[in-house]
Amino acid sequence: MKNFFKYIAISAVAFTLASCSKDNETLPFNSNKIKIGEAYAIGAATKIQLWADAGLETGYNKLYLSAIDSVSGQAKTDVNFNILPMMTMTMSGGMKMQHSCPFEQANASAKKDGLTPAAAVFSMPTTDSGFWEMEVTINNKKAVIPFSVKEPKQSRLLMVKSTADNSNYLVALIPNATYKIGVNDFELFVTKKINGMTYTPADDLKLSIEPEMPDMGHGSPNNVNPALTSNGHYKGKVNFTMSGYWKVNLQIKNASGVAIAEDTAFNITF
Amino acid sequence: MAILKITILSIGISLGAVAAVMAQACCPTDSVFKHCDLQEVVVTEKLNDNNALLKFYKSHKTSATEDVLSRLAAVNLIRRGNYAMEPVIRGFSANQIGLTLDGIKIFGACTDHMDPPTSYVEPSNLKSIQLATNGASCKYGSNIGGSLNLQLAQAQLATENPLSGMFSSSYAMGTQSTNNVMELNYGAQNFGIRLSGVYRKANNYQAKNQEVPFTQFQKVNFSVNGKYMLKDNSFLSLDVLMDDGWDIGYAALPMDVAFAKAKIYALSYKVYPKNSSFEYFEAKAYGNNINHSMDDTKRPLTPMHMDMPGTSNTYGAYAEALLNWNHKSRLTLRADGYSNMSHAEMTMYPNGSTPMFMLTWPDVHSANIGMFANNDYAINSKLTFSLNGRLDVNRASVTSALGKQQLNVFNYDVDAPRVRLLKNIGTGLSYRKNGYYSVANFSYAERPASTNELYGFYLFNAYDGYDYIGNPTLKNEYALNAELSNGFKNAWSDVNLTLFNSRVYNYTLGKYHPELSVMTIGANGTKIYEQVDYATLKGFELGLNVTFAKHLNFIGNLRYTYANDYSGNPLPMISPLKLTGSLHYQQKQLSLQAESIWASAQNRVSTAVNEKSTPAYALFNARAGYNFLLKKQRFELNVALENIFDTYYREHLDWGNIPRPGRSLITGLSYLF
Repeated sequence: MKNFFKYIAISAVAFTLASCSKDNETLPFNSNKIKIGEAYAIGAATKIQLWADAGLETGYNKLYLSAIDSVSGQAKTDVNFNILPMMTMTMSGGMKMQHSCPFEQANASAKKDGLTPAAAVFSMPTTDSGFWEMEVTINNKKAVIPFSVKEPKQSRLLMVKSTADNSNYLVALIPNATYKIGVNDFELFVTKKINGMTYTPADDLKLSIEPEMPDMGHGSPNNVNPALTSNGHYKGKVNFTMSGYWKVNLQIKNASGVAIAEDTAFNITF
Repeated sequence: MAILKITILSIGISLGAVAAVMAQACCPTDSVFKHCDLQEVVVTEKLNDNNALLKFYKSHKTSATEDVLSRLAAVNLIRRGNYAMEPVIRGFSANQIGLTLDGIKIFGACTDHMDPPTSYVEPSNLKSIQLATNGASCKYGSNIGGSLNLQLAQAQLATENPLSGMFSSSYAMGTQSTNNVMELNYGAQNFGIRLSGVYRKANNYQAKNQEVPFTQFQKVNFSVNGKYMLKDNSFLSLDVLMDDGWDIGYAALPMDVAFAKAKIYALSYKVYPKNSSFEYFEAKAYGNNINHSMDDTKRPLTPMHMDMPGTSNTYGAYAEALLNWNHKSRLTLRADGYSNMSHAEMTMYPNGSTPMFMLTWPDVHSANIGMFANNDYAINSKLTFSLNGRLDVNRASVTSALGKQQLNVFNYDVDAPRVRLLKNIGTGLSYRKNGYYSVANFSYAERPASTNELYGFYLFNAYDGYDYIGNPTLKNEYALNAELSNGFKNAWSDVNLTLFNSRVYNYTLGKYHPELSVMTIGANGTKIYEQVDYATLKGFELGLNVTFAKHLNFIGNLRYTYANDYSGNPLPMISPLKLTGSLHYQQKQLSLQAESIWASAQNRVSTAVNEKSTPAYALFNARAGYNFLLKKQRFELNVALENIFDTYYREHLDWGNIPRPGRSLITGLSYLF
């Protein structure tokens, strides 16, 4: 019995040491983020690391950036990042095509725990014929970090083609890791596509939501329609009276009150 | 809870201490009608054998509790299936009335009232049923409409034969049901044990030669009472009662019950002090655990399978004393408290999709501490003045985070517990002279809101077809009650007429909210509990017990309730005029009983809950009993023909247009020793 406790104690110590050393190596900023990828910014003697809350999926993803001096191995704290997500696709004839996606530029002033936040709305998953890279620029030196994007079980991204102004909108649901029975935050990030490289936040829309349980045919009361907060972000509340599969129906009207999206919905199962 | 129990115990001990120094006095008690607002029906089989009154209330040796209750003039029953009918006193039901088992507070575990506490108790467990209306009804808890206290039977000590008992078994052809009852008593000099057991099994019954589906059930009930005499005048008593029902059809509901289980246990101490003004002092600690699960797997048209289990656990204690101040005053004191935890949930299983889950009772904790006092003062030999009151502190809270989140959907803030003071006060004046008596009672009464009314979450009510949502902001429902009872009693007759009138303020009803979508597939809409200004309930009960000749006896009662809300709309679930009459003949070994039950049509219905009117009906029953000795052993053979003319009928409080059983021949054999 005595020996048993000894072994437990030894293995506990060993485990603690092991986990500490691992953290020191890969997580410079005591954080619960997971590393998506890293690359050297050529000519800047700096390694750029890309982090996220979870594995990247099609739709809205919060991203975090950090920089490590490749000589000293120490974290660099006074870095301004510029990101540009790029998708490279190989077409059937072998021709390559590139496009970006909506994103929110790295914001140095919002840096927390040594990580600079940014965000991107990946419009498609990584496939055999297409891959994603993040171009991160510091002091005019660029690092290209490859990463992979998966399709989530339930889509968090709607692409809406408006016949009213003949333009495309990308409506991304900002994931809520903890959907629960009761009142839930419901936030959308809406951008208008100018071209494959340029997307601008759409700030003049009127959004309304109506949740329903398709298996039951019922809805829920007292929902709050998402209203603009800033830069294409719309925040509201969705109420779930029970767990299971919910369909949150979304209607979007433009500034002049013309519906640009109807019969669109996000599916949420929890 | 521990603190509460200790407090009650210490109150008890101090009362006991006071008793020792008080002078002895005796106050005579009268017979069956103690107060006229307290009616006691003795159901113990052995002691009252061949008693016409017992046979009126308990028409079969294997009668169920609800059969006995239905004979009480003030009691009607809400019927959802051939099982577990819910008592209604003068139009008041659920949390408006008090239901206790020997002072034990029990809360059913079904959100849809499919298991009222009375369904977990058998007459074989009981000594008597006490019905209190008006003021005296608050003895066991705050209520506005009256109370039923079912007194548990206790072991008999120092009996003539150490072992006595009864076995009784019957079979009903119409309902294809067997009912089996066992009662055993072992009485030694200073201790006794009483056992009772019941097994019932019923198949679907027939009405007008048509099988009525989902009217089957099975149940086992078992109870033990152990009583130990500490000294000449003090007793320790332990009760354990287990009731287990399964495969129970609820014809009027969209689903049945897989099981309904209760474990009820209590330990009590009672002393009758000598040379003291305390007549008795009693303290009891108790607990009960109820487990209930609905079952839709046998229904052919279920759109989606769902599981709906519920649990209710209650623990409590009380101390009670009766004090004779002097030859003119008699004071009953009682302090009690309980703590209940109710949890019910629902999981739905759509085909090929994710299961859906919610709490229908969001882990609701209810606690209550109260004090009751009643003083009877004899002004002179004819006039008695009674004054009673009760004060409760009632607390209700949602204990789980999930439960609170759910209710946030309705913008309810249930983070803080809901604490309410409940006040009851009653007064009565009775006049007695030469067999004639007249009693007037007035009371002001408040009641706690129920878990359904406060926190229920999409509870489907099959009666009106609406989903119901609770409302934690409800005010206390309270009532002003008046009752006038006049009667005459002599050696051969007992006539009583009671008039009652109640006005209920903040009357709680579901109000339809068209903006809310329904949860239950096919429901008519969603209602939220809200309150209307007031409602009035009034009516009368007429009781008659006449002995025509030495062996011939008539017992009957007539009841009527008329109820409106503040704008004159009829209230739902109000029984029409109903007459129950029984002619009983007893000579030596033979007893004969002819019974008729008649009810008028009820066309005063509540459109707010889609209530349908009910036609009038008349029923006739005939019963015969013959008791004989066989090898010095006593047996009784019983034959009964119920619903002789195979009348197709239902009572107004029966849900879902489901007929009652048609003609049925019942044969039974009992062995008594």
